[in-house]
Amino acid sequence: MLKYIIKRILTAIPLIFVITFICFFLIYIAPYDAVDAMVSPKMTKQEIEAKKEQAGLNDPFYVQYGKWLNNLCHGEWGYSLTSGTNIRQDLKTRIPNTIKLVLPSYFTAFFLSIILGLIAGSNQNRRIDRIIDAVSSVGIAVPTFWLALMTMYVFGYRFKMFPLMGMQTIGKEKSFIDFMHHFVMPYVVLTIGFLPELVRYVRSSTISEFKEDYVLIQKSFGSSKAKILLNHVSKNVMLPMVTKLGMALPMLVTGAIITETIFAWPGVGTYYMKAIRTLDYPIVMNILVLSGTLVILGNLLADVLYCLVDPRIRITE
Amino acid sequence: MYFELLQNQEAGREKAMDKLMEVNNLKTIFRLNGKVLTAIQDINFEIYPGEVLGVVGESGSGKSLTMKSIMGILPENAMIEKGKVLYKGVNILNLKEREKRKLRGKEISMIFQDPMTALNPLRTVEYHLKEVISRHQGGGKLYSREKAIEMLKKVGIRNAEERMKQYPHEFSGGMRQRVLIAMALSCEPSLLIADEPVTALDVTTQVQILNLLKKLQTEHQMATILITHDLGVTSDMCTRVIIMYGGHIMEEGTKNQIIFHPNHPYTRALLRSSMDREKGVAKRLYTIEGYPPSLYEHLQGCPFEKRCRFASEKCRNEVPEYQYYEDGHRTLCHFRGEKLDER
Amino acid sequence: MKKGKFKNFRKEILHNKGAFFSLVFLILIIFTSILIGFYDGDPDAINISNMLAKPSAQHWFGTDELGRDYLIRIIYGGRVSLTVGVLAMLTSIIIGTTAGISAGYFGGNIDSFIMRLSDIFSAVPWIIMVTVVSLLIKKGIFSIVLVIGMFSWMEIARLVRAETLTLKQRDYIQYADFIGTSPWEIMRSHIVPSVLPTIITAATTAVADAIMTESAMSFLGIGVQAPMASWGSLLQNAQANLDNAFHMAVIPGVLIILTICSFNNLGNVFRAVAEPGSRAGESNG
Repeated sequence: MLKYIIKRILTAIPLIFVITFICFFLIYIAPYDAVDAMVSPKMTKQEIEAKKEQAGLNDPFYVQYGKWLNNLCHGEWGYSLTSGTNIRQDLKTRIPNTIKLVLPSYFTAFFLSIILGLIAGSNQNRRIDRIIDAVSSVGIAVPTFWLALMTMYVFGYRFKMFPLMGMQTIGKEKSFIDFMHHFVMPYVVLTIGFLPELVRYVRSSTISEFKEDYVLIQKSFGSSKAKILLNHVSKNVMLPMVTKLGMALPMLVTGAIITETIFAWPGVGTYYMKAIRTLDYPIVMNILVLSGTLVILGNLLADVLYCLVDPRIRITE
Repeated sequence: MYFELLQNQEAGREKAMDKLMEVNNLKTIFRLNGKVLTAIQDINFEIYPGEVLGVVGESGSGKSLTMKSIMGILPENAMIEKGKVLYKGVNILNLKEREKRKLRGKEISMIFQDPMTALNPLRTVEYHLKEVISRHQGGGKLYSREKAIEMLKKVGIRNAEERMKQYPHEFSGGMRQRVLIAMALSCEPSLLIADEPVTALDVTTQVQILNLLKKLQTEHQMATILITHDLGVTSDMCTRVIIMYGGHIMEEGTKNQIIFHPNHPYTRALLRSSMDREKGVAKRLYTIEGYPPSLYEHLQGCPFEKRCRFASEKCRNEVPEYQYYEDGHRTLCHFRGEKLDER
Repeated sequence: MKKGKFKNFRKEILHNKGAFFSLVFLILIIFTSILIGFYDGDPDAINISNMLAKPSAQHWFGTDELGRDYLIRIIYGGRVSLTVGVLAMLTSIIIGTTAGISAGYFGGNIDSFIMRLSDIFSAVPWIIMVTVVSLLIKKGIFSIVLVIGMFSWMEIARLVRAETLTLKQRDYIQYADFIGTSPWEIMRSHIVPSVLPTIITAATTAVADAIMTESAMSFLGIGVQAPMASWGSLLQNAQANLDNAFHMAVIPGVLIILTICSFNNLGNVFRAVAEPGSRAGESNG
């Protein structure tokens, strides 16, 4: 099994390189480049050219790529075009903010979906299942941003229970209560956003699990449906879910872009959207690479986790 | 010696204790696409303590379904429309679900056809055994563990203590079936229902498992219902045999009566279509033409009519009544066995 | 066989209340979208004195921040959302079917390549992909359709490929190959018709997904651009006026939900008709 893990890690590394290559290429072919964004009508052609030369934009592709990659590995992630700030520093504050929001939301949704999905799946076609199934089917049709607006209106404007924007009130950075106050609405919206798809997955998994032969055998040995659910089916349903956890790794950075934007939450999402709007390429590129790398790592994590928990694979390797 | 044992059993039955289980007028139906289909028409049979009852039939004859009806583990869209199942005098069909569960695995145990999918792949064999043992026998962790090891050894699994910790996929088909037998016998049931226990196994393993069952049956003196589609299997182990077709019992009798004096056309055909083992010579395989009736066919008469050599007009229109012969031998037919030879 | 399927479809629709209402709803909004073309009035009729009015008898859906009748805006918006949804669906169907059939029929390296491509496309979070690509191409309906189509063909390709693999084993396909029919001919006249039910079912889901994606893009500002409006961009407007004109946010959202749900329901009906085995059926024990 260790061999398998090592093999997987080794295949992941070249993939990460491919990602960096693709990202760099995409930005390279963009119609505007970094300097164009800074051009003003007063500049002469020569001045523009000089700036481009200075920025290294006239070097051949592979040189630019090489330089950029080298910088990346050394922690030199460049500077924002619009604000001039160090991207690495920015992300150092931004990423934790996003994680503070996404991690609790995803885990809550994950946990709830297991409960709801198991209940629904084990009571197939009875009332509770019909309700859960109907609600989750409608749920996947609800745009998260709309839900955010509704929540904002009801709890922010009408009942004035929660602040509408941001993560902290200025001056109250140390206050946990203040944080929670800001946290509640985006957290609820995000959790509800993640929930329907997960519930449907667990429910369908539970339903197929109940169709397995061993369930009948358990019945014939006198087990009640509840016991079968608790001792057998739930374990079998939860096992493949670890892969979902692994695949959710990239969410820690990009899972809440829209929600963050609506609530002006100072995370990677708002940072990224602003960069998109202002054509701030260095930022976009870095987040692209980050996101792609996390996807690959997430897949790797999912595979490894699955390998660890499934006895069939664990032992026969 | 074994034959003598069987003979004694048959004689003993006459002055027998009470029947262990009695099935009366069992009718089981299916709901499929809005239609109601009858799978088991009107079954009556009984089984005595310690005897081995063979149930022979093609797929679709209703043999498995009968057992599932008895155990109360029918699928969602099937139900028992009428009938009684008296187990030790109590009609177990009327019991509350909670009561029924107490019986399953403890009084009546069942082993199924496919050992490959019968165990949860994510739980160890130890877990499976301990679960059943502690459910019905209480005791503590230590007791269940000891009992589990004992049972595994009994079914012929060597290194029981180590193998117990392994997962189902680490066992072969035959071994898994042994594990299931261990589970079934762990609470010392009075009745074991074995639903085609060896059909899914290769031939050498089949013999091993059947021998194991024979040994255990003799040791525990458990009443056993052995379901199979192969008449030959019954000749080895069973005291009495039931032949099922189309949801009816076509013939019932002792093993000798069935094999040497079959009175039903279907039984006769079955016998002719298995190879002639006695002489060790394989004769040309006789097949019964046609197919068993599907659930959807609404039959007015005898279900076997279409494939029966002796069928008459009456057979198509009227469901037969039972013809009785000596010592409890009976057939469901319009014609008596002797008459068949004349036709 | 097709006639039988149609009868099943009718029976299914009439029995299943949810499906029936979905069908009715969709027909309603499609008709409204078409009929609005005959409407004389000016959808951009600005009337500042009547800004942000709540729904009333005169303006059923109220007015927006420029006093325009919101009902008209919604209908035009719906038209755009539906159009983009359908066009994007067609794009992803075409790409997906081609990829799926090619991968399934030709197998080997082509199959590996297409599946790898599908894996790569599926792996990247869609919002990242969509925002990055929108940077590179000019904004507008055409680019939205293209972008959505480019990142949603994978699921269809997978389904079609699976179907194709099964079909490839069928005798009549092998026979056609044996007598020298060209692969293109086989794919066109034999495989495509058989894969059609799968495609139709996948198409309904694709429209639903496309509408959701377009709404999100327009909401973020990288979708349809003013003066054109879709339900998503209407929601973006609504955000600025949330406190004063709540109705502006509620209505487009509700319509998006109903439309997506309806398409999904329809898809379920199609799937039930095309694959009767996918329902809970029982065989005898």
